[in-house]
Amino acid sequence: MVITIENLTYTYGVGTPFEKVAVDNVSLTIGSGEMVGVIGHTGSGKSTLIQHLNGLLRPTAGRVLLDGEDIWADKGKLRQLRFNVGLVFQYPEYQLFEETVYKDIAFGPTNMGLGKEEIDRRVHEAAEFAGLRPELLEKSPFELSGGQKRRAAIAGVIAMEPKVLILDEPAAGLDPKGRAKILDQIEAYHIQTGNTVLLVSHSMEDVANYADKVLVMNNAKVFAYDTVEQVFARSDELKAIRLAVPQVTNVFHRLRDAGLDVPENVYTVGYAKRKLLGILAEKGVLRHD
Amino acid sequence: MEAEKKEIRVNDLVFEYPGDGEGIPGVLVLKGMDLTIPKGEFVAILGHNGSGKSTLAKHFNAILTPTSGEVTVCGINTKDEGRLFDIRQQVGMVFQNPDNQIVATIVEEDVAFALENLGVEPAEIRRRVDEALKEVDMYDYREHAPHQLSGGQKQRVAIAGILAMRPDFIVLDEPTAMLDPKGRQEVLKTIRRLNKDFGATVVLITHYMDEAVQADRVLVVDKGEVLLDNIPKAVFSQVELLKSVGLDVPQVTELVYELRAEGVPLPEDILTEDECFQALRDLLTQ
Repeated sequence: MVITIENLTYTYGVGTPFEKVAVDNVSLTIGSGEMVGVIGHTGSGKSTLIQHLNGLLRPTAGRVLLDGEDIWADKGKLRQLRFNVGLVFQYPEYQLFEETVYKDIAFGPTNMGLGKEEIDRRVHEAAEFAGLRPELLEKSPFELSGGQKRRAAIAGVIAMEPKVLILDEPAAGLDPKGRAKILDQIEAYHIQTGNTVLLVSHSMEDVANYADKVLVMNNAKVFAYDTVEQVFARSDELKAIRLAVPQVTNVFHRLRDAGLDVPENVYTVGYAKRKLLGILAEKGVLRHD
Repeated sequence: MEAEKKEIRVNDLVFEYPGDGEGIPGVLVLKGMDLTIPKGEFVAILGHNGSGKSTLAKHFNAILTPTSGEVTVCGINTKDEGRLFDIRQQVGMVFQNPDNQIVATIVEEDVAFALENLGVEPAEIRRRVDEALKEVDMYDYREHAPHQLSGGQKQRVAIAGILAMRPDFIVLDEPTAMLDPKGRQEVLKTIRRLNKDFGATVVLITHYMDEAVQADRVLVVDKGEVLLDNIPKAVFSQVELLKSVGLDVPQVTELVYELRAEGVPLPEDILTEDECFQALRDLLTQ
């Protein structure tokens, strides 16, 4: 499913003293099956932008097209659209409400009017994608740990089998192991289903590790939208808009500024290590056993 | 009475959440911890979810009391219910979610809340509220409504509310977990300033290694026990051990560790970007 955003503008509180342009004339295309990291400060417009993708907000101006079709062209189709574009909000575990985890995950598919067997299949598959053990399905959501609740809430959206999955800070508030686990699970989901995934995050490290492309929002506009390598190559500019670039990116930039010949697009520890080992071997600093 | 030392002392602390007596067993969370937090220190406590770090913190101001062993705050045993007020006045707590801690509709009224409950004189309340708001750099917002503030600002108001009580110890339980990077920076800067400039004792419970690096001392808690208790450099040099208990090290520390494992001659105690840059620059220009 191709998402095309054309000259999208959204203004909050039109005609009130609080009028504020949250998204300002944004145009971009997200190809089918891409994994895109979305980064920006609080107030940069990133949340407002993603809420347009499944019709939660209606553009003040401009259009959102899914596979070439304007999502607001026929209001009757909006409901179907919401099944196609699944949105997982921040701290989604606060939205769990059913008696059992199973019923909670089944809520979306049930609303879609699916048969019992299909619902059952989807609940189990979604639980597996989210990394929930089957025996947890019969528990009350309130018996689960924080990380498990988060995964149950994500499973509830995956169970609708959306073509596009948007997650707003899925790892927020989790410890490092919990972060890695949930992001690994999302990556596996992306690879196995081939569906488009949008990962909204404050963590440049997470985006660098998991996304293919990065969308950087700043002051209601697109600051950058490119591959991870291309975006991190502009780390000085990212720092100028006060985004926290990964530590290794900073170190490599300072090395370059100090006149050393090191690559500029370094953003993960693994890549930094390989590059440095190569340089050191050339210089003969590294002992060869 | 006795001139007790200003410190929190934890002695062989065991804590178990009790079972229901009919099948659901109790859960042993803390398995015998010993530590002392002297006045003036900035201590970070690290541990993954479920390690027991928040349970430990809740013992510092008698929200929980030990199943066995004891916790004393400036010589007062936390089990002494008659002195609960004294303990809570000496140890202030700040929690994760800023929205759950703000009770009033105006910032300065929120900061004054505890003081009013304590029966402090109005003129003294005014003075302390103003001071506390200035210390967290929120004085200009004193007449704002809390919902107009960002997460980081709300958290600083919550900290001001604690400061106004003039506690000896400030315990913060993941105060930045729900904030964006900018809010995190604001709160951390405030915490450091309270410690360095105002001499407040700070216990910071966190998941963020870059925050723990800035403390004087880092405690790593795992499975209800204190696994490491040392200065940051010594703690973060244990890369394997930290990873084995579900924690991370800063990216630069990991990079240097990985390079050292390949035989690259680099110092082992690299914690900051600065140190990493200098070490690599020296290595590459030699």
